[in-house]
Amino acid sequence: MKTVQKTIARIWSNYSFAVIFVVILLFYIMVSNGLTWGGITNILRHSAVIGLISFGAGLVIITGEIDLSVGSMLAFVAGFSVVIFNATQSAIMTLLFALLCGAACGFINGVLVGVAKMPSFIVTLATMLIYRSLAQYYCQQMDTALTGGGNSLYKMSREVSSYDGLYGFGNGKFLTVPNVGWLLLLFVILWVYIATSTKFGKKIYAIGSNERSSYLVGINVALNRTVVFVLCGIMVGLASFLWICMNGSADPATSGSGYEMYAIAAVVLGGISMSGGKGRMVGILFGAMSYTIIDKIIVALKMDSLINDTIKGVILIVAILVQTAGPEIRASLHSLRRK
Amino acid sequence: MCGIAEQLFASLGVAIDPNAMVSELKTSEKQLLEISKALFRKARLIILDEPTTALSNEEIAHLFSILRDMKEKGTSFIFISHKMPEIFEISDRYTVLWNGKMIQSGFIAETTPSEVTKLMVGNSFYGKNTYDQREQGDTVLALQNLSGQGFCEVDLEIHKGEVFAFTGLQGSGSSELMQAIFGVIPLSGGRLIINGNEAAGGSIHRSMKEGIAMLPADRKENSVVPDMTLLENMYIAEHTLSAAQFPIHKKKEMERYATQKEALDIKAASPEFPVTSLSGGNQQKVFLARWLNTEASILLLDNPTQGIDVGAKAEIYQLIGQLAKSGKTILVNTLEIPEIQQIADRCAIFYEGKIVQILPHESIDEQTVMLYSTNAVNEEEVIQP
Repeated sequence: MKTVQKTIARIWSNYSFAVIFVVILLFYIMVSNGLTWGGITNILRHSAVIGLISFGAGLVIITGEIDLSVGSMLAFVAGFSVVIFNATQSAIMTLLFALLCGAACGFINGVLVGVAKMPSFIVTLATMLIYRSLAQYYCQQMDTALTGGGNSLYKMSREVSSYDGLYGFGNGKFLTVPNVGWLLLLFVILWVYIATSTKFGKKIYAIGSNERSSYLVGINVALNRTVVFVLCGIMVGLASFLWICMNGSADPATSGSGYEMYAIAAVVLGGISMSGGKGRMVGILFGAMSYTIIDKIIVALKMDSLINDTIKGVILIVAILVQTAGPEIRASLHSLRRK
Repeated sequence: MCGIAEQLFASLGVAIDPNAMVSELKTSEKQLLEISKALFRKARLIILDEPTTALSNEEIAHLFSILRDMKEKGTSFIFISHKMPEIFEISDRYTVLWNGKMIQSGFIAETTPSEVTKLMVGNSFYGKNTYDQREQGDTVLALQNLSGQGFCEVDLEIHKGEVFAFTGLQGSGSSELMQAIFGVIPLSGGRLIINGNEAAGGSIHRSMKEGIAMLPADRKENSVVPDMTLLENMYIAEHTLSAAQFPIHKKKEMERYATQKEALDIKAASPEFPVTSLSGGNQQKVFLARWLNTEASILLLDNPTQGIDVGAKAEIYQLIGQLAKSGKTILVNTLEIPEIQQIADRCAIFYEGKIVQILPHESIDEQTVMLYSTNAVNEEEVIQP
């Protein structure tokens, strides 16, 4: 009995994200009468954008910081990427711009937190306001040729020859799996590799675990903190590119709204500690997919989609409650038994 | 509330400002604060777990007089320690525990420090003096009129293969000088010459590239990376030097781990265990291995045996001797004079930021060192007519 208990405890502490994911998946299978291959690939497709953003946010959280600006960054980078597309008509230029713009936004966050040593909560709260506001403002001000015809939406112009290519990429499949799903899986593998088998990955975990010890073994804490925010920005840039490929447009008022919260929730559900220093990157994939599945469960149950966030919030509380309170409840059960 | 705190501190002879932030206190002050909290509760039984690790001799003497006072008034104490002089000064009875088992109990009056030490570590390390002279080479570290925060105008020449001790009262500059040589705190004047090259200081990365390593004091705050395994804690310093090669070669790291585990006799079941599961002595060996992995030629050890049991201490003294024999130059900063006698070729005594005396091995003894540490040697001269 004791060994069973111990194994369960070990599985839970190392793989809690897998357990949560399986529970939610089972629930989904129940309410939609079975799981088809199309269903699975659909989940991947809808988790792609939030998944990529969550990897960036996860990296920041592992160093013990937080990035609240990722949702607004999406609106900003996606909007301006549309403009670049309409202006240059080149898919490559659009992609490059999205990545560089994301990196620049991340760099601003990174320098203020890593070098100026400001608290990341405040810095990214401020940039969250700034990026979305700039996205909306320039949509109004810009030449409608660049914004695709309107002043409240950045729309990719369909006359451009590369439009079909990009839209096809965003909505097409390769070997029955959506292209964006392949991209997501590729990045999971990449990030898991970086986190577990590179010196850079270990440095990031070390900084989140004990900054002073990291400094005393020669790790350049300021530089690495900045780099982590830049990497987060690049992930958001990539996600923005995927967004406009999938949707053909970006609404500066609503695109990515609330995504920073979903990203943080995906990271936490993925088993990564908010205080930094521990957690597995692969968990983030399951955290992001868990959220997509909850959306689909709501649809399958024909409930009002407005109740969506309530359910997500409750699941988040339950998951963290079990993570934090679990060991304590077990300990007090032990001492009760001894009496 | 503040008044009560002040009263308590005054009656205990502790110089802490009740309005100061705890994060700004020195480690010894934090320990005294914890002790004061325990004494404030006016409990009938107080358990003190290694209460003196961060205290100076003066503070220890003061704490003991408080304990004796409270003892007379009827308070009972369980005093957990591995320091024989203290145990024999303050306790009535003792119990020796080893590896989770009870070994022996008895009255202090009916035994001797060497007997109790034998019970704690078995016969192998008892009574051995590990000091062994060896050949020394040219000067590898030269300090000329060096100044920084906490020390000034230090002149020193240290040879290859030498074991050189720093000592002095808390805050006398010995630890600060060591940190400045490693680049943790910047230099404000003078010259630092490492292996013949002048160093600007102020950069840990550069010091590591020059072949210097520092094992910091207060291992919990400064060395431990708590969420990482033993293996990860061991290879992290070397990675600063080999950062250009991105991937981690697990096989190579495991080989290094096996070598160090054997050389330093680290007791751990698996390298994948969290570093926090090891005892203090084993942890310190892991951190020593961390720095040996960087193949540094100059090792700076700041209070290396702080909070470590007698057996592990003796092992570390032996290791220091072996490393020096193999050509490494070692600087050790310590408050324990018997430790200096066991390992050092020479000893520099600091007082208020300056070196007041350098003693050769033969001249190192408790009284002489204390005389210079407290500057009593000068005060005596003033009193003499």
